[in-house]
Amino acid sequence: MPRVVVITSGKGGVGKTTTTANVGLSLARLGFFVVAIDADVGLRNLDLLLGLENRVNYTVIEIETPHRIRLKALVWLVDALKARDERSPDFILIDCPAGIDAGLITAITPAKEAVLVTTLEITSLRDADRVTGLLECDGIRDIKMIVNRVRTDMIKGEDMMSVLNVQEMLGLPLLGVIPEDSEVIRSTNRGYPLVLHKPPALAGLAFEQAAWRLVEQYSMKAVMAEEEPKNRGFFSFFGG
Amino acid sequence: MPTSSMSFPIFSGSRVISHISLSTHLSSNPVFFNSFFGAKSLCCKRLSYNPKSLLKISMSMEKQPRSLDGYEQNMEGNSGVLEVIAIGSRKDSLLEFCLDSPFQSSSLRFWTVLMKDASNVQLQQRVLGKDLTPRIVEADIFMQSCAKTIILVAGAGYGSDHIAAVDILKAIRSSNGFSVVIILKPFTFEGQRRLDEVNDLVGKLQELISFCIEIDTDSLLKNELVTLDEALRTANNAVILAINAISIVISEMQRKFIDAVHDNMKELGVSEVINILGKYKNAKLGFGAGYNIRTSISQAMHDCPFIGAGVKDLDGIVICVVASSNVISNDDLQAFLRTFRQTTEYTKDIIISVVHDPKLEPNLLVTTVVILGHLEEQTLKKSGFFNRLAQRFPFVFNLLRRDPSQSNDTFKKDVKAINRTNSNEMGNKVALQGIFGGFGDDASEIEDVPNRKSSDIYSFRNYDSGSDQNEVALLDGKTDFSSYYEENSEGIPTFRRESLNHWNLGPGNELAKEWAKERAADSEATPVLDNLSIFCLPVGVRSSEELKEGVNTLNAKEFSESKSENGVKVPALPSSSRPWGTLTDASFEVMKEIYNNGSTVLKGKTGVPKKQGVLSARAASMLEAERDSPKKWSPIVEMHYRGGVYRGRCQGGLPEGKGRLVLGDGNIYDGMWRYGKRSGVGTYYSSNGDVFQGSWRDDLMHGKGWFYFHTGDRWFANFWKGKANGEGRFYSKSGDVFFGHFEDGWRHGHFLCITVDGARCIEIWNEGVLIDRQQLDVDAVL
Repeated sequence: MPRVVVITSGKGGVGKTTTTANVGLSLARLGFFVVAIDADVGLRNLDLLLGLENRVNYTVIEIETPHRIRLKALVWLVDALKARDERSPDFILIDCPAGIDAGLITAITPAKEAVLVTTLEITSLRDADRVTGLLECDGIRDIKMIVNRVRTDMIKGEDMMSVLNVQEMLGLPLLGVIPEDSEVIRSTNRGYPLVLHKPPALAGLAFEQAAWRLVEQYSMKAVMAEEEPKNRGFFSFFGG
Repeated sequence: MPTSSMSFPIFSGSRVISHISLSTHLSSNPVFFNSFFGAKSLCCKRLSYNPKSLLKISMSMEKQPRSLDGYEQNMEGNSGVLEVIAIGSRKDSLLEFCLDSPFQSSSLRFWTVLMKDASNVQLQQRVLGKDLTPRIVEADIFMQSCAKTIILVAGAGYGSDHIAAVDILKAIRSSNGFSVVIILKPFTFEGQRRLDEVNDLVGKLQELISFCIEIDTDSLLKNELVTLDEALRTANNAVILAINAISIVISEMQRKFIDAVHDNMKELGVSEVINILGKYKNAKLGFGAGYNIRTSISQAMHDCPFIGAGVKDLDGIVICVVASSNVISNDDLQAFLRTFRQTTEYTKDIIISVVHDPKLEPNLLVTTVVILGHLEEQTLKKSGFFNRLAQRFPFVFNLLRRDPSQSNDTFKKDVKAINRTNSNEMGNKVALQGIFGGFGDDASEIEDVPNRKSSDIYSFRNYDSGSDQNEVALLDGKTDFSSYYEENSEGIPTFRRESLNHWNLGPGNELAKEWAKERAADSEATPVLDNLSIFCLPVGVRSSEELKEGVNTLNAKEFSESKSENGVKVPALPSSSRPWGTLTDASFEVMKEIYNNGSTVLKGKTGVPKKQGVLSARAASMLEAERDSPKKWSPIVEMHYRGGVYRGRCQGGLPEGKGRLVLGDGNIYDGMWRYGKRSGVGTYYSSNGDVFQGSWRDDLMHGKGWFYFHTGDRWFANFWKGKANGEGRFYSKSGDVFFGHFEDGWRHGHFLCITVDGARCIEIWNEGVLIDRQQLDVDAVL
């Protein structure tokens, strides 16, 4: 039975497509059969991140269908994948569009689990909160969180909320914490996925760990980072 | 005896005292005396560092020669200074905590290791204050002079400091000194490698040391409501108390007694203590504070998670150090030992030492218990695969806990305290937050956000979201009387062990304490007549003057601080505004800041971080606003009302909804309003520091509520139109409890009184007048 996971955030630009691409690739590298679906019907991006923009044969728009059936296309697709005679996928990752309109509703319909991508900004937090409410209304209880674009220096300087704070405010288990990494931009623009980098990028490593946690259905524990101020009082659990 | 620089360890509640004690220590620097290596060379070195001690040095040099008895010689020569060397990743914060702590005594010196290179090892002394240059001593010199040393292993990650530590220990061992290792184990989330590192080190040190105390910091996190910050603070407290306990038992000045069950108490000398310590090698520590012997022992043994299993099956010995500001007589000592044996069912020997510290709060007893020897590992009865797995992988534990199908009985131990249906759940070790945070901590407590208890407050606030929720919140304190009756075969009353949970503290306890502190601070500045206290202690008791007059006044009266007792609420508030009303407002603002920051984050979730930054506060309030059920929007207005300033929502010119009224005389009501009257859930902060938190109707207290007096007593009662009616429970600060019935504000009917020692009596009251009192037999059942 495949695990159908929708990757959503509410707010745009926090890293849903990046997460889908990289986590999907990491899962594939672990040996799973992964299907990644870009559910943003009008503004697709997943192909660019994977470097596959020249390999797209058809998109949903090009298939002649009455409008309302297009909304069901995703559900049919997922059902068809599940019902495959040969090996059915182990993971179906659905990359959700931004917003909370019909696009989101369509995307989450076939899904049983959700990964909420958020950053440590207050705007993203509010949208994430909204989306969590919507997901729960729609019957998706298994929601895990990935915190993206984390800048530890800003957290210590109290310019950014900490992961622990956000986790407590949203109340969701933490799947991964991805640091801000300029490699992400480079890989997007080149179409060479982040996790394939050698040597691995920091963000890539974090994505891989998150993928592993997704497989094992673990969640991680956010550790409180001490604030900067006094030199004396500052200690790091990884110092020595 | 060497110079009079030796002093009793000082447990004090004020920072100032610890500063004083430290400075006296620096100026009267006792000299290390070691007859093995000759004093002269040492003194020369010392002179170059600290010219002030010149005089003292010369005085000490005339010290009478003793027989070269090896160990005793060293002991007396050292005049009791205990060196503490800290290594490990957390040493800096730990040493800072120790130096700041009011518990630290002047006979302690703290050092860290400075390694320039492998051959040039130095020790740097840690001192308080930036303008004092820390002293640096060559490790070799140090090794010659130290005879009593504690090595503090503060977590893993000590680099190569441990080599220096090992060398020092070897030197001490060869000179027959006394050395102790106190280990703060790293948390499990730090990883297995660090745990292994520390365990290896301990293994290496075992042969070299006389004695080892292990503080299992991980057990602090077992209760998921404990935040990392609190756990660290508790661990730090444990360390400083361990250091103090050791310094007391090996000091010449403190008397120690050993008590055996079938023997009289004998006094012990220092060398005998050291022999005993050396025999057992390993120890665990527990500490607790309470207003009576029983509570402080129970806290040390049961609430402190370091001592896992009980001492019942201990194959070793127990050391108790009791500190109090009251003088502890011999009888008290005997009582303490008796209580200890009863509470813990311990049958072997106890070494006990008593410290008199006038700076402690009156009636407060601080007990430190050090347990030596081997504890039978009590395997949890239902320890299944999942439990062991949970200990290995903390995150799996999280997962498993969320999955209801996996619930094990063992998981009940970690049931969230919010789970009110288990109001008698004993497993909670939540008391850590209660008393521990109260004493010994510095002013940063004020900035701390009230802990999860404010989530109960928050549920108060959402009155519209379901009154049944509030019922539950207020009912959680309901205790059946049976919990006070204990079965004790010896026939001596002891409390059945219950964790100091919210059954008697009430949800607003932390808040009320903060308010009382604020008001106390303010009222010192501007002395004022306490003429508006709504309720005076003792509650519901008619004074004799009242009886004579036969008048039951309803209006505000001028009460003097002490005498008059009146159970009547003052409904109409005077409109005169006092100049210090603004002071009150300011202090209230401070309170509200603290309070709001805490409560907004909580919204039904557990695990509150104690320190909130500005950002998360903003985020939290934003989320709170988002999540509130959409109501008709009304702006927050500020207007004059009833002679004070009202700030909140209004409708039709009258306060309606949530709002706060600050009166000119300093009283504040914050809560729900309806048609201009207080209605719903609200909190009343009176200017003298009392806080009432409960439900209101028609501007009067109506329904259930908690009353927190500024003196520290707490009262939970049902009110009807402003007066206490129905069941009430009064918990005094020192631990006495009164249960009974109130009619029209007066005590009426049967009252059960239980003093802190467990003596019970039944009183019969009639409209505020005591008619009869009967002492209850210990075996009697009501």
